[in-house]
Amino acid sequence: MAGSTDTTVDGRRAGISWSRIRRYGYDGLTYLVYALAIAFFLFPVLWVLSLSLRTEGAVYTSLELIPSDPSLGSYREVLDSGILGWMGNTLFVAVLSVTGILVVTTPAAYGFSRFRFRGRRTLLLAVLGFQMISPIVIVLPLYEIMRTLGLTESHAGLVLLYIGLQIPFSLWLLKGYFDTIPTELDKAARIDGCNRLQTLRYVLLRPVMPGIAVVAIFNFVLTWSEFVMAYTMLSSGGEGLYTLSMGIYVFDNQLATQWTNVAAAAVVGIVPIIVFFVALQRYFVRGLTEGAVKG
Amino acid sequence: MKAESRVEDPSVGTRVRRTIADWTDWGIVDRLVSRPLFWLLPALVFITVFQLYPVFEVFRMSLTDTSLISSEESYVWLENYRRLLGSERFYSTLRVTGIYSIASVVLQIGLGLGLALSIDYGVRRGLRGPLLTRVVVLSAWIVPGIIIGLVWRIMLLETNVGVVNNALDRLGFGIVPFLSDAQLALFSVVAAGAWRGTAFSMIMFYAGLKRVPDELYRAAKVDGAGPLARFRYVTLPQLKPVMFVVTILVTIYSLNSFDLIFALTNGGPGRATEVIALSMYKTAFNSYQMGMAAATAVVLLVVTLTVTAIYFRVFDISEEI
Amino acid sequence: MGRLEIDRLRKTFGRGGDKVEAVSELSLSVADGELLVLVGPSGCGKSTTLNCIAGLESVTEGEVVIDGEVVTEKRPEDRDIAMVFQNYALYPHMTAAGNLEFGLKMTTDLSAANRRERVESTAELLDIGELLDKKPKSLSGGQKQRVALGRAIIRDPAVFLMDEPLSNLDASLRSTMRTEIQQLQDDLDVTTVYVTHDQTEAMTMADRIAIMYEGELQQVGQPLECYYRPRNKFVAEFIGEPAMNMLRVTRRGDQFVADGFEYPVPERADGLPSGEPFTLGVRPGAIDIVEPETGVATGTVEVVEPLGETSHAHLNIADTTVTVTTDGPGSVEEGTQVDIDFPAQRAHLFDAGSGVAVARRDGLPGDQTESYPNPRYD
Repeated sequence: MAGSTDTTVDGRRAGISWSRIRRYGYDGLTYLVYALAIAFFLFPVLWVLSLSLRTEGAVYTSLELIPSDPSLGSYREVLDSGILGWMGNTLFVAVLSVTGILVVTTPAAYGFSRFRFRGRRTLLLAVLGFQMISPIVIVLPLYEIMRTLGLTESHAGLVLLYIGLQIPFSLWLLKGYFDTIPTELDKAARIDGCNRLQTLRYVLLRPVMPGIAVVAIFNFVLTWSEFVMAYTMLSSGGEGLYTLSMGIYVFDNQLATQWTNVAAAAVVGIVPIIVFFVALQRYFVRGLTEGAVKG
Repeated sequence: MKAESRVEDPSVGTRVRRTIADWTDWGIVDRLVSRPLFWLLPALVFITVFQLYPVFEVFRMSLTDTSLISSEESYVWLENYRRLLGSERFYSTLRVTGIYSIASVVLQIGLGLGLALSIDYGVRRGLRGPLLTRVVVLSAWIVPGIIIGLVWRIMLLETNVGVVNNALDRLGFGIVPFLSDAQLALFSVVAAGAWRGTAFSMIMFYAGLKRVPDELYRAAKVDGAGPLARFRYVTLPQLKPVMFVVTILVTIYSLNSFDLIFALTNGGPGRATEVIALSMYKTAFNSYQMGMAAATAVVLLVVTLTVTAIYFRVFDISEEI
Repeated sequence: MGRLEIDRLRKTFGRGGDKVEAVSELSLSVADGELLVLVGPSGCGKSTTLNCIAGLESVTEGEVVIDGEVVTEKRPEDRDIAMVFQNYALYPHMTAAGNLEFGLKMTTDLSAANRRERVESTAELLDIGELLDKKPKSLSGGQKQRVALGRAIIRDPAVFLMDEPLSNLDASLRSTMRTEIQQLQDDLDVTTVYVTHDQTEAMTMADRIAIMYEGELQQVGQPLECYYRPRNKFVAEFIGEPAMNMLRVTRRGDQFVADGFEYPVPERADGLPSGEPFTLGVRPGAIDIVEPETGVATGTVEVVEPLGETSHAHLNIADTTVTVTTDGPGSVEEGTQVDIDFPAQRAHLFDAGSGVAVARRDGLPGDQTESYPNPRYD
């Protein structure tokens, strides 16, 4: 083997080296992109974290990421400001909103996917059309409506509002998932004695779970972070009603230049949602890549 | 034929009798759940109350002089629009919104596509790092907008506290007025927006890339296409539907940006970063001129819909919907 | 017991200008224990018919009767039927046992233990006992098919409905499963309606086949009946592989003539008017290659497709392609001129306009009436 193949081995080596170099080049470039991306997207969070752990005096002098004289003092002050209560409010609103969105959207997505009726297409396009209308455009009439209904300064009102605003997108996404499930399953269930409610409950719900997970995660993150509506509807109420976003905004305005405290508040606002998302992002991405983002 | 004559036998005919009403054997639940309205109604009610009605209402409000501080309201018809179109502030916000949106769309789609491609490449090659990169970028996306504004404000502070200026100072560049110079402030807002928004384009493009069938790449290789040609003739055309969706959504988000800018610059310095949404909000809740603000909102809506309509023309996606 | 009758079934979709009639005036009767195959090209209304029998689609007009009871308005689960689907339609999140059990759980009051018993005995019947705890994802195509069959069997219905159950399997598995379903149906003796677009499946499995085209029933009968005595041109061309050759001919005296073709009018067709055009059909397998100058036509062999034991030779006779099934290799050469002939019994005649068969033969080969009179060789 050795003698006869020497030349071919050499030849092959010469042939491969060029494409191999090129491939290493691409790999290197890719790693560079990863490094830059991680630096750019991670640094602000790390920096704020670093600031939050400093003493007030250390913010002006040092550039090092790990503070030489770490202190939890600012966290103590932030926690005293009622941030835990805001977080509780936010959690309450987010959980109820997500539940409400799923309860309303799942049947509607099923309906759009499984029924053929007059005006279905028009109705679907209309629902899609509402995605182009940003909540900020209708925040004024919404404020008036909520005021008329006596639902400002109330978490229940905010929850209803979030459900209403998030239905179009969630409905569209979830309908796409239902569409990927063959209707033969419905027929089999029908033959097996299910009515439509039972079909949804026993047969379709499990296969559509990845989609429900995406909708739930997405809406949880969105309602957790939402600011404009909460700020508009709850501002006139007491601090005890605040959500995290608006609490931190108001807190920041009050503190002005106590940077370590502001940073600590930001960290408290960021960490729970990032932990939540990092834990679940696998389902989020899988649901998005496997299911139907396509309209 | 034999079979048919058997069925048409008169003795069969007498046994075959049509039941009187349709679906008489069906229970009330079955009948209810076999109507599409049963399934759609709650969603339609919510959409009507919280989206459809408000859209009409914002149009109506824009024709009145309604105000937060008085309960009186009368129709002034197009007066609000006349004042709006006659104000310098309006054109300034329009310009700022335009620049911010164009820069954001270009930046976020470019960065998002680049990241998606490198992550997809890394996954295909089995490199380390795509997962970490993806998670880090996505994390930026889910940080509440108000906090992003706050974080970037701290970073860009024009004292030693601002890490960027601190670093630049040490390198001998002196302090850069990231937030107090009109043009630099707009640039800072765009950067912070990209920090947040890139993840969305990235994840959408990544989902699109995952769905490009491998055969297409193999076929292109067989046809002698190099990496660049494969990107140009396979990847890009396959990404067209996603590109369309992403472009539209990023544009809509950018045009309607509010919370991040609200926290980062609050429209300043002066009105250098005051986008339409911000000006609308201030008109409504700082100046209490709801009618005027509603007219601004209507303009924002019209701008959004116009741009979307243009996209529909440009992309020519008729065959994909 | 399960006798199924369909009486003047009509099904339309849409309304106004978009109205489509998927099934029109269909009457059929399936005897107890019979396997009726509903066959036709896609879009012919066969699946719609099956769905109407199952109660998955409402009926526009007409009746479905099972065991003398009108079930047209009944819910699927009250019709005493079970169904097997094309893509198996197994519930992906349930185990095989769960899939089998689900229908019993929803429609009967059987205790869990009783249900388990039924599941196990059904599994035994289908030889899927070891698969019971697996989910569909980890089953092969054939195994999925068995579970899907089991889901139907366990209900112990009066009528089985099968919607192209084998179309997702590869060729070798398909023929195995074909035999298996046939045996199973025989053993269980359950009335079965089997929908397929595959005429081989129809021919081999059916007690009788019903051929549909554009919503209308074309012919019902035993497979060989449909093969040898097609009622019209559509049935003649749809059944049989390769498809029947069709020639445009005109009767001139006692001959059917076309370009380069002349065939004596068979006795049974004496009554057909002279001077009129007809379509003459003959199956590739019925045609013989004969000595030069002795056949009814002369053609050039254009292509020979060898299949082993037999070959398909495509002849050009005056610009019409005629396919002939010949013996294996060596019987004909591409490019040569050959003569063909076929027995009068094997000639099918159709009205040139409507395609309705005229002067059909009596009886089938092997019947007492059958003989091969071939007067021209005498």
